[in-house]
Amino acid sequence: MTPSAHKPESAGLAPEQFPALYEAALPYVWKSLLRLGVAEADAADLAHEVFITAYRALGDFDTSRPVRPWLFGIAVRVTANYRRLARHAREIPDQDADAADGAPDPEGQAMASQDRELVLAALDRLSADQRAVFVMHEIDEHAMPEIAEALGVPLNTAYSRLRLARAAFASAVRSLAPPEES
Amino acid sequence: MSEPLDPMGPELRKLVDRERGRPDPSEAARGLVRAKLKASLPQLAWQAAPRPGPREAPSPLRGHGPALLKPLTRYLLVSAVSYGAGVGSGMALDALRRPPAAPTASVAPVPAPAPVPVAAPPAPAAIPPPVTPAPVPHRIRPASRPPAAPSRPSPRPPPTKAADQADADLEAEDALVERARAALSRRQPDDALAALAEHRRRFPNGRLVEERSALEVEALASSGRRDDARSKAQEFQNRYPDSLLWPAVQEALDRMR
Repeated sequence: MTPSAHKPESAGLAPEQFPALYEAALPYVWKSLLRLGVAEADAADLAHEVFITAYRALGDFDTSRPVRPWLFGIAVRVTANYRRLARHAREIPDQDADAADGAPDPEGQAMASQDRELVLAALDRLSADQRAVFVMHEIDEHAMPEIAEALGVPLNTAYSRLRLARAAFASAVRSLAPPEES
Repeated sequence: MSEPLDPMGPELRKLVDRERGRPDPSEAARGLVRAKLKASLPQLAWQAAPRPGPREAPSPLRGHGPALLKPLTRYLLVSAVSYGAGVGSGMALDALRRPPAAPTASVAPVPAPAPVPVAAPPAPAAIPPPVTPAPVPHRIRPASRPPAAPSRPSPRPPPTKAADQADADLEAEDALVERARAALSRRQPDDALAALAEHRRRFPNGRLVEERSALEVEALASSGRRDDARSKAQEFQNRYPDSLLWPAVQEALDRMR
């Protein structure tokens, strides 16, 4: 196979586009990092690293492809280093960050926030591989072929991880969720 | 395939939907990452962080929402070729792509409801190789608490004044660092050093100390204070041995030679 066989058909974002990429993609990257198990206190450092890695790889990016799975793939690898080095447990995020000032429905907001924390806690029970597939498919709603590409795994492997992840997630929610009040 | 129609079930689906609605990072968080990137990639034309009023005023927009789209994002939204329904950054991200000839509906082969496809499936094409980041040690605070199952319902404390103050401080820090960076790009290192000195005075242990230290080396080098620049660079390397800003610091030293 010649090297050019690996070359994307429409390769590369220009460096001048990078600040715009950052502004548009930070919310997605930030939330992905939290879903991948990064503590809120570390998310800025990790997001910085994701974008620096993306910047260094701008020339490899195929602009006919969606940006998000590409960034998610980088986030997965950055997070793998983080988890390996940190051996941390996820901190309970600052709940204030979720509270909208003057929210019309504070109780509803509180419930939604608690549900989100339950999701993150349940995701913590998944393996890193399962977690990445689950987040991409069930939360970000990416198609499985995109996910397999972004994570660099065969499609069948991605499906297999998704099935296991769903079962693990359901089991984790059952064990974490408090019993319903009657 | 004998999977049920929705292997997640309605309860889990509801939880996932809630997570999908997670608020965007605060303006302070965006500003912090932007400041770090500016320091790492000063050669790029970074848009100044949008501020609602006077330059250093605390943001009343602390929080979330599509109203916080940045100018460049708005530009991208305006210039985007129609990609169907999309909101906020998702649509802006699509604008970075060269649109395929005929966007089609997303197909998710796994039986799961996917009401809003994130992106149209592209035509088959070569895939960018997975990008492996160089391992970078993190400045990680050890977690003090394991994940806890939330109990409900529980009253939530209102946003604290301390959080507002932290946001305001970060904005002020970012403004000073940005002032220094802008002065450096105008080749006015004395102005940069003045801004950095003010940052040091007001925020001796601030969140942008690493960025300040890197800019100090650049400013000293730019003003011809070679020994001071080398000394500061040595301090920087000792304190942040794996900093992503180290290449910029080294480059500043190289320019002195």
